[in-house]
Amino acid sequence: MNNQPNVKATATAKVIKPDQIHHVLAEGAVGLALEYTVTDDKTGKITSHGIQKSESFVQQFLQLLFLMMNMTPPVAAATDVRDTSNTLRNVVHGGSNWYCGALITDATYGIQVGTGNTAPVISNYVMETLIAHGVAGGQLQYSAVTFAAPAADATTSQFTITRNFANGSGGAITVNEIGLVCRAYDVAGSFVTVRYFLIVRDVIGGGIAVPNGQTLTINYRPQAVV
Amino acid sequence: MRAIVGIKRFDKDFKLLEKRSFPSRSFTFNFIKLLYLYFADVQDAAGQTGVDITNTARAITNQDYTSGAQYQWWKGQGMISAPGGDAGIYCAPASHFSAGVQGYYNLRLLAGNMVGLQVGTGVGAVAPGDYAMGTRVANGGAANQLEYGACELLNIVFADPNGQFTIRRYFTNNSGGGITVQETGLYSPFIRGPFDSDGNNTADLFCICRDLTGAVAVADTEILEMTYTIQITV
Repeated sequence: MNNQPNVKATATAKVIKPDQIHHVLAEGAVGLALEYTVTDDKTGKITSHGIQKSESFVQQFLQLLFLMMNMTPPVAAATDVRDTSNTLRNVVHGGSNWYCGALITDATYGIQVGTGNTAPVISNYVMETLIAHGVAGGQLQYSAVTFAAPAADATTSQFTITRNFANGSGGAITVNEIGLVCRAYDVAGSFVTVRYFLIVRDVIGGGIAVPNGQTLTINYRPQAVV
Repeated sequence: MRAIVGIKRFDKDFKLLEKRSFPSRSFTFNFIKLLYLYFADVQDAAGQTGVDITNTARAITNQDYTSGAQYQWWKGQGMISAPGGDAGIYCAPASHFSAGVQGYYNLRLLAGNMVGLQVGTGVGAVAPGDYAMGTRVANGGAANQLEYGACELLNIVFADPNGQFTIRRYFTNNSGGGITVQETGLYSPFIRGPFDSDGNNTADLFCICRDLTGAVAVADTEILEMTYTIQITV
């Protein structure tokens, strides 16, 4: 595929200096700042950029938080949480829950993008129309998910989750929805299995146009504001 | 996500004397670090640190100790629910569970009253870097002490576009005198890294939320109910 961008093996998550933290949440809120940037891979020029408050923690986020705080033990008092395959899973408090560091090409979790534009509801458990990894028509190349360590200023604490999506499909793609999917473990008898759970879904009004040969970078920044 | 702090004060016969609520405004830097530990599955080598309730910088980690078919299952990282008083609760940073093998190593026994919802008399303004209550009210029946009940998490409810659950703890004043509560918050254990060669380690307590309540005068024999209701709205 000549003149097609290659997915970057590592996205560039950087620790934000305290004086550079964007404040998008109200006092007392815990949420995410959502930043998107489209960059022309040939020229390095930014062709589109925006920062906004992520609107939509969904049901699974609160359930996993409850499990974490309630230290639900193995194989007892398990709580059913709906995974991305629309199946209720017996998730327990576990040290490896919440992880969203998907590797390059892995579109099953981490930050995901899609073309669905239906407004989020609290019961969303999967992206409406997930864009697959690849270079075929309608596909984007998923980089690895990277993280930047926490930082804080006088009012706001945050860290950064980053993923790049390179468009080598040969045509323009409009991203309308962005989401965050994490791993957690469910238990059946003595066996544990990794499952995937949507915890955030946002719909971008008007969408984000990603022309062929350009790369979309998504930063989700979990924040707490005093 | 936001939280609502609820305050109810009862007499010894559980007659309601005072009731009010207000938005929490103070999830701390430590809460964001807790999410970071989990989301990024932070390993020992990352060198992440946090300041615990003793104002000591601690190495914090989400690293699992695994050997063969053993899996680290449950280590209590981020737990809030706890028994009341001095009843112990185990934090198991190197616990293992697998088919046919269940064991817990180097358990850290924490007093239940030190985990979960707390109250204090400090009035200092809240800040992201708060690492402890300003002046924590100790558990007990002596002067200036309150008896800490169990810290419970009540069931999650969802009704689109909202979802919520509640953290609740009762405090009984058997101190013989009045106590004026001015602050509340949440304490939770984080796992200390790195593990030693046997996969053992310990845990430290961190303040993940702190709020000023305004004066809540709790007379002798009265009961104080404190709640944090955690909410999301799409």
